[in-house]
Amino acid sequence: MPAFTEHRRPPTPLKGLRILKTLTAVTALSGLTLAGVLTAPAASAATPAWSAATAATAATAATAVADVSPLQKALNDLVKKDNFPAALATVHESDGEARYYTAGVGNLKTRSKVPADGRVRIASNTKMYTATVVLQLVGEGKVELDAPIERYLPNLVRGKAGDGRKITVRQILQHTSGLPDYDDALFADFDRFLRKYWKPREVVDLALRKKALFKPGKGWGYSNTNYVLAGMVVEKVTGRPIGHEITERIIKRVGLRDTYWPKAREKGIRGPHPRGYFATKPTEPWRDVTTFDPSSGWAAGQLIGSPGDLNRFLLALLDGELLKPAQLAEMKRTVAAPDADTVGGSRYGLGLATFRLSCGGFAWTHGGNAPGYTTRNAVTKDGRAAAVAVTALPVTMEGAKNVEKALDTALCA
Amino acid sequence: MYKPSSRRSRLLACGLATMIAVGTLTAPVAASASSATTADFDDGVQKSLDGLIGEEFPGALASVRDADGRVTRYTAGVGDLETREEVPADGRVRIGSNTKTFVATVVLQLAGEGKIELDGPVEKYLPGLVRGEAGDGRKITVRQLLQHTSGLPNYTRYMHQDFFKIQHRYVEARDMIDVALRHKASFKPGKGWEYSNTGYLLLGLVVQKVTGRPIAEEVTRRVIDRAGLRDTYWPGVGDQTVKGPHPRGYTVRKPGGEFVDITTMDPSWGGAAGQLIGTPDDLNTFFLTLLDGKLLKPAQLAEMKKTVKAPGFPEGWRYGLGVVKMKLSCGDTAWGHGGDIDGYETRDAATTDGRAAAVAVTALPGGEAGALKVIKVVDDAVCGAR
Repeated sequence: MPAFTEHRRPPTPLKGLRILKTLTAVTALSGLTLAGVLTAPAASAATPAWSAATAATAATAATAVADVSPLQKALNDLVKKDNFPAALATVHESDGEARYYTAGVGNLKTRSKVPADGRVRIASNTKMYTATVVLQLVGEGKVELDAPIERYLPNLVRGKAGDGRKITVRQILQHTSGLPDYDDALFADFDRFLRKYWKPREVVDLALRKKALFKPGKGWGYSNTNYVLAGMVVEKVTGRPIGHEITERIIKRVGLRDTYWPKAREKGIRGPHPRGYFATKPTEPWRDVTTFDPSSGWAAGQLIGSPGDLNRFLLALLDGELLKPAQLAEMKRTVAAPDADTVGGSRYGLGLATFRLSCGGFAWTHGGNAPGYTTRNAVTKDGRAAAVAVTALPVTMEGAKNVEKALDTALCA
Repeated sequence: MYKPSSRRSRLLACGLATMIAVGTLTAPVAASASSATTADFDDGVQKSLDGLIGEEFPGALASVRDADGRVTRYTAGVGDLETREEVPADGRVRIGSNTKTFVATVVLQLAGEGKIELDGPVEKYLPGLVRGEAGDGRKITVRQLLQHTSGLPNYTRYMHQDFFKIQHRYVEARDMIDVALRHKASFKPGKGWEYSNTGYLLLGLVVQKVTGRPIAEEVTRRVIDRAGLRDTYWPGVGDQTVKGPHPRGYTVRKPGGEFVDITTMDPSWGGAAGQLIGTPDDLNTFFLTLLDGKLLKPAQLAEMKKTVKAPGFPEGWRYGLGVVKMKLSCGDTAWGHGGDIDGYETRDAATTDGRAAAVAVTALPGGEAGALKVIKVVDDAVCGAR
């Protein structure tokens, strides 16, 4: 409970936009009782839909309920007990086979099914993509990891929030820069937040009005500001928009057909997707927030993708398909990241974190929170990948924990 | 007027300009594409357009609307020097600084809605942004930005002189504003006139601040869609192409050198000062719709048409709020803007009696003589459309 009220310590770390963190915190305050509402429908779609091939197969495979897998049960519970409108997961076994799971409904109004492996806002998972591009540029000799960000963004970061001459590229990727976040400032007015378009420089300006969390290198503090700056470094060095670089260097290279960078002005989600919902406490009815302007997330959280694509990305990344060995090693060098998840013991590398498994060891992860969607995803050392998405931010601490438990179940069961 | 040493400075200039005619009538009936005819006869416009083709301009296209709403389209030269394809009638081109009129229209709409105060300081909308020896946002008004009387240094003057080095470069408006702010003000606010693209980048941010939406979206929703401009669009982030049928745009590496295809480029440096893509037909429709009062309330249209001297522009030209007032050779008055951006120059003029002409050439002129030749085509076309 204290973790909720402490404004620097979000209930569901690895939070997507930190905006979200604030929100969830607010939410959580009122909400530790599950007693609320049940807006969410029962597990009509609570069947393990699996297929090595397409999501379409999944939809038709939704019959055999008899044999409910532990992961399916976990998703059913996220809907039944934690009241998420929907939960979906995709698991890639180490032999490459993919299984798709869904529970709940994709649209509370029409009660339509959750599309298997439907698209969601993957929010802060975007940071993995941005970090990968920065590290590719390091491998190409275009960015120096331990150079001050000043070299790439002259005169931009100054004042009480931090000094670009004293903060390195590594520190912004690692969240050890001490730069404050901007998310709470966005969230003052939620309705306005949903509609408003932001330029990266504007959100940086918001952050620069605040005080540094700590001196560079002297602590760990998750801050979206770091990744907005990382995106700006990429633009400065490549001369191309960050969305373009992520698309060309990662999405196309790995063949992520369900992942895309929303265009400027684009507020919807393309293709099959469950609707995303929002409430601040369990007793509040769900509000459909599928459509909003994600520009404030930008290089820290703007991407849209499917759970399956999150798996494919992490597998390709850790398989060395995107980075040279030296840069992948840098990415995996971690520092303690206290309270970054509800499991505990998590560590943060460069845009990549660890997730402690109940079955021993840890998996590589990130995760993301955006209004409407929470994603938790990881890949184990033996190449099993799983991504769980629910179609709302948690409104209770239990809900937040249970999403991460579902991920653990997917990887350990 | 063209200083070879600062080639950048003239980009996005409406340049010298546009000139042309008088008129009075109004609304263009949206001469739609279907009612347009292609000139296959040897009339004056075709002749003068043909006369532009040569060492300076590989291709040219024009659209002329007479007072009865009849549209005639013209093309000359070749659209693609490699394939020798024709110039597509009413093909798309980068319309450069004509974008300013679109942005000014949005600003004035917001003024009409009480959301922007024309004589309010820029500071009110962009607190703390404009400071230093380039100028002070507390002392510069929105009107001065629209009018080029702010004294803010023009960032395009300080861009890389070799465009090929930045051709594919994506930049943010704020980065270019930073560039401008590192230089000295040209004069105190209100104490002079100097074409400054910087003012329009700031206006784009003002609109974003007031509406919460990007300038591209506001221009699209409030102007392009409302005026029914089907071939005009704001290129998205990272989009380096010109969509749909279009002549290729060219440049030269040095005066007199061979044409190099420069169509594909990142126009982000133009931003709210010059990023739009459109066609001659659409330019005519836009200016006529604007003059007809369909985009602005009377009070704001009147503000737009209040002009000041524009030193350096052709004789008889004055600048309003994002619009140029031109005295035509036939004595008529016309309104337009014009735009210069690598690969394309456009000149346009519309009269209040519903005549309009827009000409595009597929390279920037090499000097003043070439620029004046393009202007003359527009002038003759509007005067001849009575």
